[in-house]
Amino acid sequence: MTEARAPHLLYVAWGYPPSRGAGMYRALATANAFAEAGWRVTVLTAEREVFTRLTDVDPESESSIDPRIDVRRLPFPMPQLETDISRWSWFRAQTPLGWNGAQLVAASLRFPERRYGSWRTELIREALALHGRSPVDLVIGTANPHVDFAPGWALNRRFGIPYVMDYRDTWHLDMYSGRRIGSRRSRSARWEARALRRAAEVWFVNDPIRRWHVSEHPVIADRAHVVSNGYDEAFLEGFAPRPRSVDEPLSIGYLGTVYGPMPLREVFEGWRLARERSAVLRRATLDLHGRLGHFATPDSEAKAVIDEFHADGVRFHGRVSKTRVAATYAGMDALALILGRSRFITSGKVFEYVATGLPIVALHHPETASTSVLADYPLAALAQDDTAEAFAQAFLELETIIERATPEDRARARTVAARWERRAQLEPRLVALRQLVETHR
Amino acid sequence: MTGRRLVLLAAEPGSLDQLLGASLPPGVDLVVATWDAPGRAAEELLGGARLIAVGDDAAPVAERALSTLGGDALQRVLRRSPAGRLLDSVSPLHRSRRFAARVERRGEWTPGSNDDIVALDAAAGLLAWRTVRRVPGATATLGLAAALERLTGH
Repeated sequence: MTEARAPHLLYVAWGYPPSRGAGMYRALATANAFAEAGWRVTVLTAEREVFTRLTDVDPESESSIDPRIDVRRLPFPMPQLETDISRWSWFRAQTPLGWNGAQLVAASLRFPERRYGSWRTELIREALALHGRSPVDLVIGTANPHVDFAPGWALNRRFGIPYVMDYRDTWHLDMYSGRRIGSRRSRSARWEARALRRAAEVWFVNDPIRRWHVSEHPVIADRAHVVSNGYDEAFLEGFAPRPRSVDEPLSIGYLGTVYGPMPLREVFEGWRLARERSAVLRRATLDLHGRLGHFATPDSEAKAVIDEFHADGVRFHGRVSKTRVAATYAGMDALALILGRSRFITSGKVFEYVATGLPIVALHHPETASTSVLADYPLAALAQDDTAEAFAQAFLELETIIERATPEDRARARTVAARWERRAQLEPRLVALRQLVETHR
Repeated sequence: MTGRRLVLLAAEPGSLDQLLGASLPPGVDLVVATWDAPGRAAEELLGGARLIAVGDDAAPVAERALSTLGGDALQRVLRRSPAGRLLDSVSPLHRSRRFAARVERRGEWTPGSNDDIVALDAAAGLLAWRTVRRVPGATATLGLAAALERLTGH
């Protein structure tokens, strides 16, 4: 295929490498998949400095960007993060609270989304300029932030270019309570409804979320697709389970972000109970790897809970670059999947977990959406409730699974997991969107 | 940092806790103006710093008059709602103004062009802003981590 004939994708993702935010991997993989499939891909994202200050950075993740992708880093206004007081206005100095409120209002006037709304101007300007220089055939916006949907909408209104709304997170659905966020008549809800009506496709990370949106917006029923997060094979390259002698203490690991809704205390109490009942687990450690909270500053509350259970073999090891993921998994004998209760949450890590073929203990309420991913995984111990006692039982069941698992069981587990490879999730969409733009040209 | 003076301003309780995980430049000339006296751990870290704790100072006349007229009670009511907190933030009884007035009245810290001022909380920002506006050469930063990053150049 010649460069001139290759369709041009404009991919809009605030959270793109080197952002350390959880959604970054979906954005990275999606843009890479289109580039590999022969599309010319331009990514609009924020400047590196933004991630340093807001989400923290994983500098090595940038090396995973397909070199054929043209990455445009746009300024993202963050006046609230201005720490040089000499630059403050009189208004800000007199009432930081009032000034903050005014900033929120100003941002949401541009786009109905707190803080991020102010980015709309920059995004639209760049998208229009880019389309003028090199016509765009398709726009994909991945949210949140939902302002990422704005360029698709703008190019569609002016030039009829098709766009995809990729919801890696929800806008008006509280994934924990299952309730709607805000009124259907709110500005943001009306904007979303308008954008959904014109979208060529709408992607969701799992079926419960897709169904909720279809029930709210029946007009998208035939264009709403599930594109699960899946796992990136590249990040597990070189992974091999560690050989372990019978005498060696077990390491049960968690790899991911430790954040608010996780039943952390219940898990650790369950772990403590299980250790009281099992000599094997008494010698084992529960090893947590990752970030504490979603922000650059670690969540001190989570750290305090972890420290409280140090005597029970709970250890926190800190952040792990994506490039160290395989090596980190290789140091574990089994994996602990700790999630908050929600029928809408699958999480990204469940896919990576199953890809390892290691035994997994699912430490979340059974109604949590990730249960469906583990349903046919042969080496999973599923907690029957989200209480300490249920978690203790699950840990004990895990111990049995670890003891009995054969290399064949692990191979079968990896086979079952293969369908969750991210590229496999994206493939049908790549084909359909290629057809769409060919027809549209 | 040669010849510079580090001035830490803490108007809210607990703001000095930022010092616990931080490493200040060794041998730095340090002034600390705070509402509450620092806790023992923070005090140990501050070593030979000049400490100005103003919380127990007598209130200025205007502030006393407003308090007598029910200002404090009104402030307690205002703090119960977001709109009230906004109103409180511009009132003469807000902690930012009380703190600034007390530190300035003490006169124990004479701001100079070699001052690197650090507001450890938003309420201390007002005094830092006022000072940096009238003293050329002084710098003012919100937050200790940002200040240390700025002062050490990384």
